[in-house]
Amino acid sequence: MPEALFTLIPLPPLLAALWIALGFALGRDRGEAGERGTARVALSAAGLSLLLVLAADVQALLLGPPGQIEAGTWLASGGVRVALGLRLDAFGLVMATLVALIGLVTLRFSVHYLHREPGFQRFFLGMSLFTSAMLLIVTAGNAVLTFVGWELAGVSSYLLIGYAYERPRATDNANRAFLTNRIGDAGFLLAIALCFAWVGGVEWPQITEGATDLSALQLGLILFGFLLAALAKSAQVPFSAWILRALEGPTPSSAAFYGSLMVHAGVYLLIRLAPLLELAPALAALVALLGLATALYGWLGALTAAETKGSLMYATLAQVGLMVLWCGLGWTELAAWHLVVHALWRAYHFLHAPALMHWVPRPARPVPAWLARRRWLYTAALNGFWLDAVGDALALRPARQLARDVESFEERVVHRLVGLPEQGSGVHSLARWEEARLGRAAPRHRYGPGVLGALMDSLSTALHWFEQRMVLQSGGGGLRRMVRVLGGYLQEVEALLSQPRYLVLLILATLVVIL
Amino acid sequence: MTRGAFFDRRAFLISYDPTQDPSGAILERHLVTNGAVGAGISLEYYFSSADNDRYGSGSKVTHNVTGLFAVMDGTASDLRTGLPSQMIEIHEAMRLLIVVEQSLDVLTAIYERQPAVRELVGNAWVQLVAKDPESGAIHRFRPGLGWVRWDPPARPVPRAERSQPCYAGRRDPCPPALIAAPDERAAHA
Repeated sequence: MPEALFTLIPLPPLLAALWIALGFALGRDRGEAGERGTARVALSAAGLSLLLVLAADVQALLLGPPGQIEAGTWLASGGVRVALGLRLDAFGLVMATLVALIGLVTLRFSVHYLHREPGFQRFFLGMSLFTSAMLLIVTAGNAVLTFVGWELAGVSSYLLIGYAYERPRATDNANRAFLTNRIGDAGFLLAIALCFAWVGGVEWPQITEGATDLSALQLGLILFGFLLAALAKSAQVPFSAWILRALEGPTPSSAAFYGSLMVHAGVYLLIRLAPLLELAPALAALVALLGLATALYGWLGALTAAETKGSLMYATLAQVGLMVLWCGLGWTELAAWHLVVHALWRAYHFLHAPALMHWVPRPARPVPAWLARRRWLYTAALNGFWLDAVGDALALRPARQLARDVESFEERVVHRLVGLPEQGSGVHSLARWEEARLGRAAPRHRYGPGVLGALMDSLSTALHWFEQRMVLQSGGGGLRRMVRVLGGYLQEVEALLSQPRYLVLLILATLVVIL
Repeated sequence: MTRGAFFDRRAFLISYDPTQDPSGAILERHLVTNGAVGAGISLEYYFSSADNDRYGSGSKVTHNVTGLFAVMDGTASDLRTGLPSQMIEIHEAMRLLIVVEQSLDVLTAIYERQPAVRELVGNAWVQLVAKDPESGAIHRFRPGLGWVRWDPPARPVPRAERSQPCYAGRRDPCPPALIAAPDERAAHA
């Protein structure tokens, strides 16, 4: 079989997703009557991918893995080139088989599970997109293509967490998961850019081999970017909170995304980067530490969680934390085995979750006594160690403040400079216009009765006149006003700089300049 | 009494022979147990259909089993009550109609003795109809009015050769019909 054909592996589910999307785009609601057609298209697409992967597997068994294959150039500009190619080595093929298999099984499961749901079409759109994205992540030949899959997986995850979009909680959680993942994406983009600059390319073999020539700082920065992406995607501490909120969607999607496939994408990336991680023992130790922390976090959380999906998710986190720990310790092979076995087992587990009552004959087990005795630990575990609240305080609130500051800067400075009308000044100017119209005709106020009152009144009028003529309109008034305005701005800047978020920004800016 | 009748997923039939039970002791037990169970099922079904968001539990698809005793939506919600939307399409949601073949006196005595029956029937949660075993006269119990005679309308009940054509191709409930007995069908042919 020609190897170029294997580059099509991630394509069929993407086409299926586009076909379903076309129905929406044309405004034709396929609805219930279209369930069968949609299911058939999505299933055959996933099946086709699986067949292609199996063909590649067979060829790999007979002739050895195809390795790096290319179908052409995607982007080329100067020295920068991004190929359109896959990397089908032994690990990539195992992962691709796993993804195609679980994707197909979950889709098949969902055909009946979502029968007569108003969101049937949407669900299959998201799942097909996701299957394609995951296949792209695990087979992509270079970091940029992996990133494309990474983002598509993020988008489909967002769409399916918000499946029940009439519930505010679901949409909130979808936003939350999406935004937390953006932190990881920033890391991924940083790493890609640095690879272009320092390694000269983004093909995976190029990165893992070229990195040996880099300085420790350069390697550390590239690795930092990738690690950020991997840890956020695999929901390791301190990013764990998003994945617990992500369980809003239909159970089959939870099974595929957070139980068995997407949660492992970070581990996959770590395994790919193992040669780099070996060269940076400090970062590897950090990874091991975070993995261990996540394993503990998941373990304690699973002991206290009351709902099925939550406790399954905590259990998943504990296992994924262990995988990350293996990666940090350099036991890559163990991590890979662990990943595959866990993905299969957890998919089965999650798909069973709705029928749990039929499988568990006994009442819910209480929290173990040793944990119940330690009230503080129990409370902390029950609340997910307040990772959400900590994230809010450390990232969300400063970011929101920053956005507000930028907005006010835009309104007060940029809009004035470019001559845009001030926003929200409609009422203000109307009031001013009315004032001007009524101005002279307005009745004079007397401030007190009798002669004394009249005296005070005339005095104040005189003072007012003096102020108008002598202070505000005297020579150099414009200059003075400008100085005063500038002083005000400087004062504001100083006040802002004393706040932590700007301190952090300043430090970051200094770092960027130094580098 | 129900011979040949096709109720399309609406009926819950219990064998009862009034000639074997002149005192109404057997009927009394039936009304207390099966009446209450039937009322519970019917009311759960009715309210879950009438307002599935409030009294029912919404779509099963996002349900999350909680504490092994209830479900909630997604990661956090109130525990849901009633039936999920996938379960309310089987029967037609309606108030339970209990039809008993027994004399009014026996039924009235049971009604007065049993507070459980009084609560359900007297507060109109269910309707009770009696068919007299001897005269065949039908009376309906109306709270506040007592037994009121009911005469069947002149409109005939539709007849069908088989039940299958009645429901084939439709998901909504179809009206009751009388199905021809096998010997009748044979005579027809």
